[in-house]
Amino acid sequence: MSSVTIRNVSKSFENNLILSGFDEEFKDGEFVTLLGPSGCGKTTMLRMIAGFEKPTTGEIYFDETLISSDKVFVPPEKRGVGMVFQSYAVWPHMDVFHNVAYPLIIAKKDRASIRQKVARVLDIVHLSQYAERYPNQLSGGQQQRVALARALVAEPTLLLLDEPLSNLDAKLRESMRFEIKEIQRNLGITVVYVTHDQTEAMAMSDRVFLINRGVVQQKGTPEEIYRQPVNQFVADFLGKVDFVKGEAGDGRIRLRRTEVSLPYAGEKQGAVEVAVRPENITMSKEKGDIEGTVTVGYYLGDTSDYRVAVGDIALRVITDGRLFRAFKPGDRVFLTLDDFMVYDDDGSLEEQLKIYT
Amino acid sequence: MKTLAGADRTIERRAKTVLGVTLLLAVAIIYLGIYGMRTLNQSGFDDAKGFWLIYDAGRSAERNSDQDAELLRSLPEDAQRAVEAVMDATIRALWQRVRYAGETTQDFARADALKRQSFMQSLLLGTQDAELQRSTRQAAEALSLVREGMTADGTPAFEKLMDDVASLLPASEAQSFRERLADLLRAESTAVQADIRRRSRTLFEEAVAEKRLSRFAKGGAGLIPLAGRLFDELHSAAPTADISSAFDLVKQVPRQREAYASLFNLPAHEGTRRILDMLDAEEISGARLVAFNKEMYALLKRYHPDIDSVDHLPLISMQAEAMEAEFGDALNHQADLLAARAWNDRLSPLLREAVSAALRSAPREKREMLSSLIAVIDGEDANAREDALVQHLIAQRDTETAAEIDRYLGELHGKSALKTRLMLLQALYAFDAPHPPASVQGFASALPDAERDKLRLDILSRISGAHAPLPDAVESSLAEDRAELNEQLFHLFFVSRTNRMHLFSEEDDTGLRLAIRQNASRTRAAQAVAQGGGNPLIQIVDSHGTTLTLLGVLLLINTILLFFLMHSGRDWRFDVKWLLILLIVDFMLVFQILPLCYLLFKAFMPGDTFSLATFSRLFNYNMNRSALINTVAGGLAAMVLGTLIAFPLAWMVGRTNMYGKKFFRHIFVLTYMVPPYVGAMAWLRLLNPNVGTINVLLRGLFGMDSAAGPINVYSLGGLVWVLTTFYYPFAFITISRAMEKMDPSLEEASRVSGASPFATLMRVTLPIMTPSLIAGALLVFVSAASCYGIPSIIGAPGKVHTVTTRIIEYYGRGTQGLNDATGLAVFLMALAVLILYLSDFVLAKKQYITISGKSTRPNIVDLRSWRWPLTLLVGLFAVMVVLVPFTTILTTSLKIDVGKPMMAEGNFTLSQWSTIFSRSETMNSLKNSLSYAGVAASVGILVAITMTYLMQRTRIRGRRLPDFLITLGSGSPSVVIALGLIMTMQGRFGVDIYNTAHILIVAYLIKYMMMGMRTVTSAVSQIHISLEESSQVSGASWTTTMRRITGPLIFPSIAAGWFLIFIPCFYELSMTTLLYSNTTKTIGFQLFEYWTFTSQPQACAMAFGILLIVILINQVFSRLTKGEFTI
Repeated sequence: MSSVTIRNVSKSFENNLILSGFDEEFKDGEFVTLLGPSGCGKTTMLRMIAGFEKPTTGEIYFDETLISSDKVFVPPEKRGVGMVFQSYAVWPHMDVFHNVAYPLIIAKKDRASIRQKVARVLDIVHLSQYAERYPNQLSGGQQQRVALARALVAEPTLLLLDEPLSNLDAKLRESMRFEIKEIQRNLGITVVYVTHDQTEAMAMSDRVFLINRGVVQQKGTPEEIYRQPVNQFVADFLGKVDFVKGEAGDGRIRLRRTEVSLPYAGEKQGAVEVAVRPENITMSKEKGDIEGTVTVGYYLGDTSDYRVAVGDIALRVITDGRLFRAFKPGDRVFLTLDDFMVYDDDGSLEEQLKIYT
Repeated sequence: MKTLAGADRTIERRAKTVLGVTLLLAVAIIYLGIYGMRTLNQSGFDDAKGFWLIYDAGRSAERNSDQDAELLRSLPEDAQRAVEAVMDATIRALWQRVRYAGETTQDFARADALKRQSFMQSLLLGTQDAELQRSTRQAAEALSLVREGMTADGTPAFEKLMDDVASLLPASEAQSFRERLADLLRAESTAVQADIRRRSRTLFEEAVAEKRLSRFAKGGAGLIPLAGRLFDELHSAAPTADISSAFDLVKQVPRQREAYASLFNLPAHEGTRRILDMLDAEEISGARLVAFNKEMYALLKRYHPDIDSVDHLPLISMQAEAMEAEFGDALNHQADLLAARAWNDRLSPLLREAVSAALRSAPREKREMLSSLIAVIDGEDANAREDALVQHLIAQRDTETAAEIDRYLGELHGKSALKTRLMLLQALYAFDAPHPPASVQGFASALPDAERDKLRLDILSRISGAHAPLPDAVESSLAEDRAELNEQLFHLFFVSRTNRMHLFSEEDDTGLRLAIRQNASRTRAAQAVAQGGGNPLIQIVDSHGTTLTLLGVLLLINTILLFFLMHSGRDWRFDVKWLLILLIVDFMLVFQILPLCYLLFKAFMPGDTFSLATFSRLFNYNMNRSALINTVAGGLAAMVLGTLIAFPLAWMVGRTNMYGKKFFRHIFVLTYMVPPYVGAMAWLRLLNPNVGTINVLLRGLFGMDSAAGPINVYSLGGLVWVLTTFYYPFAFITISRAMEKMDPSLEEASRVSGASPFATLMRVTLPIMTPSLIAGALLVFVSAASCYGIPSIIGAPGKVHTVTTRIIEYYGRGTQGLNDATGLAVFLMALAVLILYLSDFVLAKKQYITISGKSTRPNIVDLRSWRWPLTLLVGLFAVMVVLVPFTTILTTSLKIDVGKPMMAEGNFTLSQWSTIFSRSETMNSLKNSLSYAGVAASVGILVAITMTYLMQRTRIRGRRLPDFLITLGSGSPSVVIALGLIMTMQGRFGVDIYNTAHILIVAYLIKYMMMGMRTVTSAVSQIHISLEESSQVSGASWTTTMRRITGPLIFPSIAAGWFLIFIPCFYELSMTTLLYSNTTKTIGFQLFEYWTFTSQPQACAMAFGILLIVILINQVFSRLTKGEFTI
């Protein structure tokens, strides 16, 4: 049983503020993802949970136990967590069995139970027949699973994963996602997962923490943060989005540099920023709210990707792939915005989307 | 249709044809070379230059004699005949003279033993009569044995001869003689011993008077045991003897008199004993110790009632030990000779009896020997007897030669005969020319051409016997004697043509005479000239046989290599880059592989037959065995100690939050570029048992009242300590580098698995580092074991020898020494190859170091409360191994008396510095060092760039071959490289660069080229090829890409590589010690000489100067590369 409570943790290296005011609780058995662009501080947070970094201020608790604060600092080896590193960190001088058995050997478990536990965990990660191999005889994916097995073997209640899939090829990455999720569900452990890949985060997590510039921008289920991004950054980072400037008032939003206006029931007034996801636009030859001209179309198999000129702006529209033959560049089309988000246009968009690394 | 496969077959056929032709060419060149070598070998010429000159002379004689012959033919027929007759007579006379010049019996009688031997040898070789040859040889051998007194292994001559003679007797008689000999040897033993003892006294007295050794500290050190022994002898013979005179002298012996001052007031006996016990190699004045020993011996003679009963033989060997090698050997030889002579005296009656018995039944060819022996035993001088033998041989050969000349002249017929005679005459003159007086010469040269021809015709008619008057100036200086007159006239006839004193050019004249010293060869050379020069190809072949063979062999190897390269490529296409590879391979083959192979060959085949004698002699000799043990034990100890120091240091500097990490890293790496001998000098001043600063300090601190100790640097322990302080950086750098490269998450994974930092260190960090750790340790071992500078300074005075110091000592001792040196070198090389194999081929495969994709910030371990104490500890270490030694060097360079503190009154001086700057020898050697190191670094970096290009930017086959050779070269111990070069580069294999700057530069290149290569290669491997490709894609040409992209990126590493070669070459010592000549001394060697023979403060000033230069270069270079590289 393990939950992680983080109280107002900040971290700076020298004068560089990496993470500020992180204040969250990861519940027991939850799959939590720290998501964000590189350099956002997510790995630092994970390393603070693991005990490789000391928070500059703030406290961290495992369940009710204080493990890190100004005065208390439990070193990594005493925290009893499992961790998988981005580089896997599989020790080259030990074979697979000894790599995996290491945490148990350190804990001075008896040999029979070590053998049994290692066998079990190797079975979970499908590496049973490789126990005697050395890391240099394994592929990247196999090494990754060794690392995972090693992190799991001591049956930790908290598992930390630091971009574990980023060095794998696309196909393998996708299947590993589900395997990890499966293992987590079966073992019922808490997982803190760090990644910069939003699909990975969406696919696996119970809750996602989207971090940028050391600050949690939004937290919530994948659906919440996808559907209701609290700001432009979140909207932009998760999925595809077009920002269009407009004027709100009288129940409508007039899009700038076009003749077009949209019905709007919200309470925002004046200069606004409309965020539209391309898949939320329906395109039709017959009817719709907005008229435009197809300028270019790409066939992507499962979807088709269009650019549609509306006045002086261009909107991206994604439709079912089977509709590709229906629309050609130059065609006049009508667009219906099934869903969109409206933000105040305070001129911060550019700034928000800029990513510091 | 012409298919692709068809085109391939054409290429293959063409390639094979070219290779085949090259192969044949190589074989042809080798054949020519061997032919030339054999011709040279048979000719008896001293060197190949002789051939060159002979052919030159032949051609020029041919040109001249056309004119001369024409002039001669213009004479009337009978005059012509007459001149020809005189010509023949003159040829006979000159030929005989050239052949026997200096070989008269009187000359032989005056010659020393060695010359007599070689002369006898050449006479015997020239004798046709086999029987005469055999009998004379046997007699000569027996006589020379009698003269020598003993055989090489010390058997008395008569004992050896007794054995020989007995073998001529019937078995039973021989048996009885042998028994009598054995009885005699037993019976006389005591008497002979007494005899030897009496005789050795004189020898020892002479040896004590020998002062030559006093110049050298080492020789002085050897005298200490002798002084002790003399003191003991005197003390036991006359305990109450008054030795105050000797005591006064022994007070003068220590250079550092303060340390001994307390002993000067003791009673003479006790004071002498104590001083003698305390003396150490560094502190003595050799001359004073010689004086003391003489005085002690004088006292011994006065107080000892029976001086003869003192056994002088051990004293002699002590004295011999004290003397330098050559004199010491001579002294020991003389001692052996004493014994042999004593026995010879006693054995002579028995030998005479045996010889007389043998004479009755011996075969004829033994008679001469036996009767010679009898004559000598009966009192005839062995030399006189030998003279008689020689006289007989010369008389014999005179008749043989006369017949030979007549045969030669008789075979000359027809038109060419005249010309040949003229040419032969000229050549003979070149070897033994009676010059006309200078006045005649002046007269002739003043003549106009037309008149000169007339003069020459006149000379010819005069020779023909007509009484043609010659000009007064000539006439007045001509000889009276008819034969002599003709010789002069011919010479005048020849030289007045060219208007020169010499028949050929003056250099050719002397050159010929120098190149062909052997008389028998001179006549053959004259014949060769008379055959008229030959063609230029023969000239080259004969005079460059070895070089041709070498080139041929290289071409052969290259062709075979090319064959394999092309063969493995299957498409048989030729790649020009192979020429680059072959060029480097050839260089390494000639200067690295050949010397090594030759060294091996010589070690196992010292006398051209397989024998392990060299090794058994080496390993049975105590001093060598202990040298081997010292080398291995010292190397191992330095390795263990160095690694034990380096690992924690590397860890603390790299992985903890200790203070001043950057500074410390800099300091520790700095040691890496300091010449090791500088450290040795510093530690010598610090840990000298008597006056070493640290010892004085320790004695003061703990109130010890002894005059020496507690630490003695002249010991194996001292050697290990200094080796460690200088070679631990090797391990430090290797380990640090590996630590930096290690992925920190490997350690984090262990921590998160529940292991404490310490457990992580032991179970993860250390095992992963093990290969690098071992590599670093092995590097320390091999560097320490093959170091010369440190053991030569620390070890030699304390008689702690190592293989390197033995090699260099042996090298100075003639053939036998060279053989022994090769044996030791083979041992050292085997050690180095083993280490090289382990670290480059076994360990490299086990390297775990993984470079992770992420930029790695190493885990910094928080030392917490240990932070300050550990920083202080490391700081203390840095002060001890860096600051203190270097300060000592500086302060010593500012002292007058090294034993006193710098600030003691009147002891501070800058004169040492001004002295070294004002001496031309130091400045010259500095200039030499800078230029040799500069050339070596520049050539080396060119090779490095070429190799880097081949290794990193091409996938050409065979690119690893030069890499392998270069690695092998730099892995070889310096001393071995130098020894190999000495033995092979004196012309034996067609390359003669001995005693030149070239041999030094070649040696430096072989040893240090790799440093530059590795630097450049690793830098380029970091530059991904795509950087260059994207430049080319952007439209830049190859040169532009080089100039704007690759160049700027690799320039720092090229500069780094250059300096990494330059610096060790600049202060190199071990190879230079073997390879220098008087004009090519380097600063490192000069410093070593100053230290050993001249003045320690001045040596320290030079050392500090070198240190400053090295640091300055490092700074410049760090600036140049914008701090990207420091050494």
